[in-house]
Amino acid sequence: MTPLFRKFLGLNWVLVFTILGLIIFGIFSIYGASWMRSDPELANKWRDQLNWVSIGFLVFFIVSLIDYHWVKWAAAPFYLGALILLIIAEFKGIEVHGTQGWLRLPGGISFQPSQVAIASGIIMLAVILSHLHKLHSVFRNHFLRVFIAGVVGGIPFILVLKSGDLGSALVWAPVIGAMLLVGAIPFRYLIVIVLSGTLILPFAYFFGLKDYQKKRITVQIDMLMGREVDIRNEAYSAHNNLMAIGSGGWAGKGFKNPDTLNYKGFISKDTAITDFIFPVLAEEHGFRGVFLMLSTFLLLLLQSLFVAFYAKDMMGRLLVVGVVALFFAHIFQNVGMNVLLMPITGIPLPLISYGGTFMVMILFLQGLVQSVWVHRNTNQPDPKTPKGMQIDHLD
Amino acid sequence: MALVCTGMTVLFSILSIRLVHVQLVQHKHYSDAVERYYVHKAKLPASRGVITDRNGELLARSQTVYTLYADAYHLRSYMIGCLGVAAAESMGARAVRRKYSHEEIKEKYLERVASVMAEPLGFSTLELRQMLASKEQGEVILLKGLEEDEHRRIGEVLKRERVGGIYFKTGSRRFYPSPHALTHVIGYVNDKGQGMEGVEKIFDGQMKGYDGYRNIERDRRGQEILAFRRETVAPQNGLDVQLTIDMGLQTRLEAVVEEAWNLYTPEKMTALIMDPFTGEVLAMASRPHFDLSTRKGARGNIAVSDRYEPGSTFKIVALSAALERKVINPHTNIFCEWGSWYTGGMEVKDHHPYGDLTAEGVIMKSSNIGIYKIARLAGKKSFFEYMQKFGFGQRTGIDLTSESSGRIFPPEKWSRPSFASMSRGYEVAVTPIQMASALGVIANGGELMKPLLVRKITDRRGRTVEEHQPQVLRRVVSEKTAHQVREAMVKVVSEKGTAKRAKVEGFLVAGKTGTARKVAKGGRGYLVGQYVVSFMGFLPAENPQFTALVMIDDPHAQGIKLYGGTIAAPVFAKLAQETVNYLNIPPTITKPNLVSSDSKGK
Repeated sequence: MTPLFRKFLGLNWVLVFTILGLIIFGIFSIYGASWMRSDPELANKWRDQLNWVSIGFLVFFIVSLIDYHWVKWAAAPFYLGALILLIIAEFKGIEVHGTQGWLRLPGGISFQPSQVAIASGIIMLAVILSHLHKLHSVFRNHFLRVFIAGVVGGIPFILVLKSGDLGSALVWAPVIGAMLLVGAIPFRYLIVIVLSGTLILPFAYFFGLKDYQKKRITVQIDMLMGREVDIRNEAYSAHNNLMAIGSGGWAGKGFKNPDTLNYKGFISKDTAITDFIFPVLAEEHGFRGVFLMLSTFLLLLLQSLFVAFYAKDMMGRLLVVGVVALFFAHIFQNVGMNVLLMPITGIPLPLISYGGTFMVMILFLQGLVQSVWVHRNTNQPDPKTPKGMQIDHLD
Repeated sequence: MALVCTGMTVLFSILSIRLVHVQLVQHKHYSDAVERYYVHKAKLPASRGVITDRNGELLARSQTVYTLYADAYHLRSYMIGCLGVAAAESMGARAVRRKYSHEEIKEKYLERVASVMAEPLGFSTLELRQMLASKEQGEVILLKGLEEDEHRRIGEVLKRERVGGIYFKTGSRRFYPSPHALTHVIGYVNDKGQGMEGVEKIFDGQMKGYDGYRNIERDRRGQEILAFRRETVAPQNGLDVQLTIDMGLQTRLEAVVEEAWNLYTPEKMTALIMDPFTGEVLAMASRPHFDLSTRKGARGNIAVSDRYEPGSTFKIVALSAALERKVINPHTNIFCEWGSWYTGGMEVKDHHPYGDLTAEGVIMKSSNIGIYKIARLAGKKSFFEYMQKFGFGQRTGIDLTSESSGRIFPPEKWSRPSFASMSRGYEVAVTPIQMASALGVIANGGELMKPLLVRKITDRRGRTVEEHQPQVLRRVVSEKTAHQVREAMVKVVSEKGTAKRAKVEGFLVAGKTGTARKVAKGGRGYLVGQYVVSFMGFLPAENPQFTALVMIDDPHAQGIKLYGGTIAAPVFAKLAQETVNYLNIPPTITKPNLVSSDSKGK
């Protein structure tokens, strides 16, 4: 048996099949959300998604089978490259489906540098948090570590925020938070960060947000409180999404049922397959379908954390935790905004929503997770128990 | 690690709890809300049945009309505004959203609608702009009563210019091909589509049908989604009503009535033609009347609602009673006291003094003394019984609104002069339709027919739903008696009778005049110089083809006395002549100048 094949067999297949299952459900959902469109381009988006999934899986398996330690060397250039892309997007970016900051490649493919940036940011943070202190003792200072992590995460965060894509910017917060938490920063420092973040929040709301964003938030609070809102204007999508989800009920209205709000055009046809795919599938499949999907997501995340648990070193663990945090942030934000728990900001549901580059990016990140799993035993034939967590602790 | 793990699980649980709340706990609320917001129950109006005459000529039909209105709220909707402004400035909706504020979009959109729609709607731009701005919410009616071609034309403009927020409502308008004929019989329909008078009211339940509805769904632009129509309940169209009226005859009758109306300028008048054997009303007209299309004018149908004292036409009742009881025969001599008779403490007078008259002669000369004597021979009780048998004091049950029952008092309530008054047609209140039915008894050989106005009710496919057959209410007098009364009435229309002006060339006409002093308002006493004159008759007397009645209340004329024989009889003659022409009735006698001698010979 070749080592490569051994590695292949050694993949975390539970995770692979969970991902595969979610992707299949996703394609199914995209089809269910767009089959009725008269525009053939839109009606055939699920086929495009299939192509992207193929590319994504190729990336996934390649990354899985290569030892993830290459990222130590790739992190910095990757990160810098992403920053450059973000800056280009700032000046030459175009708008796609209402979100700015897209770049169009010569082949006609457009992608969001912010997605590349978050992937590179996770890698960069993982490398910094796990290796920086080994370079010089000065980097053992926790304040410095937090500061550096803050700068590394902060620059792309601000760039993404400037492009107007609030949703993509906000996912940085849980990612950085979770990685700091796991990255052996003592809890007391994190408390300070969380508290200062809370202090900044009102200022951010009043000075950082644009008027329409503020309005959106107040409208959502009004809706939650059951007050009157103008459902033809500012509360339009929030209202229709909630109506779709609520009217789905336990069993849903059924796949391809024309009696859905999406079929009737109350959910914008572009977003019905991307950011607002959740209400579409909640209406079609009902609570049981949505619950099954969320459970599968939870399984995916817990299984990933399991991988993090068994990671050979801190870097691997941080990589996985970053990926888990990113996934979680997307899922929570996407589902949350549709049930009014979160403000509505355009953000896709990973593995489900239509989106080529995003799909490739998250499969790349899942490949890293697999790589951490597959290579947990290299150079360490006798893996220690989870106690290994403490190994890298500095205090 | 554990913290991340728990944090994640807890937050996932929060999502789940919220989903349980939204999808399971509040499911009903949202389902209902979806029904309310997205499903729109559109009425599919049933088309009201048509009214035709006995030959199928259309008298009333319904037409679909449209009302164009602006939904003020939609006009100010952000979505519709964006799309409209985008179309106006040929840019993307998203660009519009970024370029203008919500307020600006509202303003621009109203401008846009006003400028695009003003010309096709026939307003000035400013005018339309003001109309659109007149309300913040609710409907602004722009145009009413649009017909199909206008509806299509404006609809195309709306579609082409991508104007949202302006819609059509479907309605119905009643259309009457001849709005000045048969007005009281047809009646009218109010703005809500309810029949309010005449046949429109009586058969409202059958003619209106049942509105259907369609649960339609509108997409986010307010356009109906054709591909997805939900539950549809088709409207049931109303039934059609065919009248016994013959519109050809009606038109002639209307002309005659109109002429008399202008000539005599009475307070009111009515005339009607019936088939004595079936009770069918062939034509019926009253004045004053109203315009069917504008609904302006007097709506009371005098032919069935007016209670009047008939005067001498009523004398056939006393004669019939006496003949039927065989207390007299047509040739019995009655002494008429030379014009004045004191009896029982009162005086009965005649217009002209007569000595001995035969019973027929009493009718021919219309002697009040004579008819009182005949009535006395018959007796109070049987006189009252025959009044009832002829149908006085009860509604005929004709299919028309506001029919009056008239009034006759039983002998117990009579005062001393009552018997004499009633025998000559005073102190009784009758309606023209009762009088005409009573005339029918004599014409058809003794049977009281229920007056018919409706032949049948059919559905849209022409299947008969209800057929109104001629209905014999009762036998009033024997054929022999009817024949004898008829003979007497023929004499009325002779050179010696009171109604020689009712003569129709080529026919033996039977008839009776009536002249009653007009009752003062309030019912106390009689007016001087004001009369209700009438004439009723039928022809040919040997085999009656139709009966006709003319009643003129308070006619005015210069140079002629205001009698039934002078005013109403000529109107009857004209009417009868028209009817004969129209119905093509072959003449029964060839030498018109021999009329009286012929009738004497029988």
